[in-house]
Amino acid sequence: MTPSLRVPTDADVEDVARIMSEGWPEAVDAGQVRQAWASPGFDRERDARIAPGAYVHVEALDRDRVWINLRGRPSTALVDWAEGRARERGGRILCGSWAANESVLEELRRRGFRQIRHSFRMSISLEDEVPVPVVPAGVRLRTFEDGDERSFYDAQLEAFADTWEPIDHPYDEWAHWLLDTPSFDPELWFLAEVGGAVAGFAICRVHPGNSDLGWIQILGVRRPWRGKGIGRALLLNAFRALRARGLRRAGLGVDAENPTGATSLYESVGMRVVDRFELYETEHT
Amino acid sequence: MSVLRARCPNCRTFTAVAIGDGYECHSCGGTFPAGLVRVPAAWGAGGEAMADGARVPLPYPEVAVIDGGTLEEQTTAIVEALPQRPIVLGGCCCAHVGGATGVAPRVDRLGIVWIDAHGDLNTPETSPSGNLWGMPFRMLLDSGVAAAEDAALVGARNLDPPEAEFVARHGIDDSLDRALAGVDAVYVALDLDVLDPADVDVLISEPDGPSPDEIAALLRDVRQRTRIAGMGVTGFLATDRNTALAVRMLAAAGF
Repeated sequence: MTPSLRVPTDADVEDVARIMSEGWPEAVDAGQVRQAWASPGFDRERDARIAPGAYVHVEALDRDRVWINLRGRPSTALVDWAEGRARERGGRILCGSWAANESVLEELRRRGFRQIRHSFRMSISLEDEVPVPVVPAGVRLRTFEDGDERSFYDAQLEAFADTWEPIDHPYDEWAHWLLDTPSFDPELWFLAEVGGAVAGFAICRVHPGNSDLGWIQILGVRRPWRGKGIGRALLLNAFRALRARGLRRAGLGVDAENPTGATSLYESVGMRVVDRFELYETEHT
Repeated sequence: MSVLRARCPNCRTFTAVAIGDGYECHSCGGTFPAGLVRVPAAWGAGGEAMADGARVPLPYPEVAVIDGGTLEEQTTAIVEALPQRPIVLGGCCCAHVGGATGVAPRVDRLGIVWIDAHGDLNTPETSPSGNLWGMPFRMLLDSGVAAAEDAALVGARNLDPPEAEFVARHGIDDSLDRALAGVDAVYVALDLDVLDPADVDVLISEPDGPSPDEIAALLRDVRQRTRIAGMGVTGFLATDRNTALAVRMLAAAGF
């Protein structure tokens, strides 16, 4: 093994959190690092390396895609290791960073990665009163109740099935990231129901890296109920709930080319693009 | 369960995928204008044979088969499974509760055309039999899925006195001009017992009904007036003659 790289130990967790926060819009805390290390199918020994000022781990997005989570100021040796490990895992190899991290993106391009997509981070101030949402007739909004776990999961899979390259998370993995985490907050999970069935949903939380920021993590409307204002109602309802918590901003991430017109919905309620995430993929496999 | 995938009527496999309003089978290449939700349940005494009607073969991809539980659970399950352009197949006419409830929020203003020999306008208090299948139209109007002014009752010829009183009080009649005047789309509830007993095999037959030609013409008329956002066919026995009737009526409605 290259001497400057090593497997991170539990003692490195604060360092890793600090490195992961560098060049990222919100700070990453130790809890989030532990969450990543404990995720199903992740093997720190084989999938993660720390180096001076840089950290990387390689994770499976699904059966045929691998994600290189590259942070800090990575050396060529560290990226070499990550690419090698990603190839070992097999499938398409993806990586990326925020637009401002030009040196990381430059390194990816130099290695033959090419940009395939970008997403926006959008944000809105919650200083002013948020209008009461107009809920379409026959639709009821409510918060999470015990037993709703699968309803959210199923609705998410279906609502995101026609987005760009949807990720088919197994339930356990989904639950690990969304439910079994300190930031899980049932009061900020919303269902839009029709006759007791799920038409749409919004999963929100207080951002673990910024206690002023309400994060709309996943919002979706099932295809047959789109275009009638359910997404807007869920969004405004979420803003109101986040504002009632005393949060100062609300934010979310969205695929720049989302086919359902999500970006224009977010703009129409006053959200603005504040950052851009560049997604890269290796050309040769 | 996802409405994006359905069982192809030709291939018998879950290879039909939602494209636009309809489905396309990626195995046989067949395209279909709507998806089918089967509801083999009849909410009344001795309705088993009527429940079986929901299982007859129809040339549309099957999104779900809803069976078991309470009527409330049945309604929720139907809504959950309701594709973009749904056909609900009963079973008894309680299946329309899920069909119309699920379609309503997709439409600015929904009308209902209820085609049935009976009113289905009873409440638990007024029903002589207590059978839930005598109440679904009333459930939809009472829950606000559609307003009485946007509802038509066509072919009814055996109303219980409280139903006749309700109809008179709310001005519900068989006028499409009135019911469809202000709506953006309609849900069509077709109980095959509306037809003359000479033409159909049903459990609860009422004499002197319209012919299949007349009902087919009515359905063509509805679809020329407004968009049919969903349709249900209920209240029949699983016979070949009835299957052919269901196919014909759905085609007349543009499905």
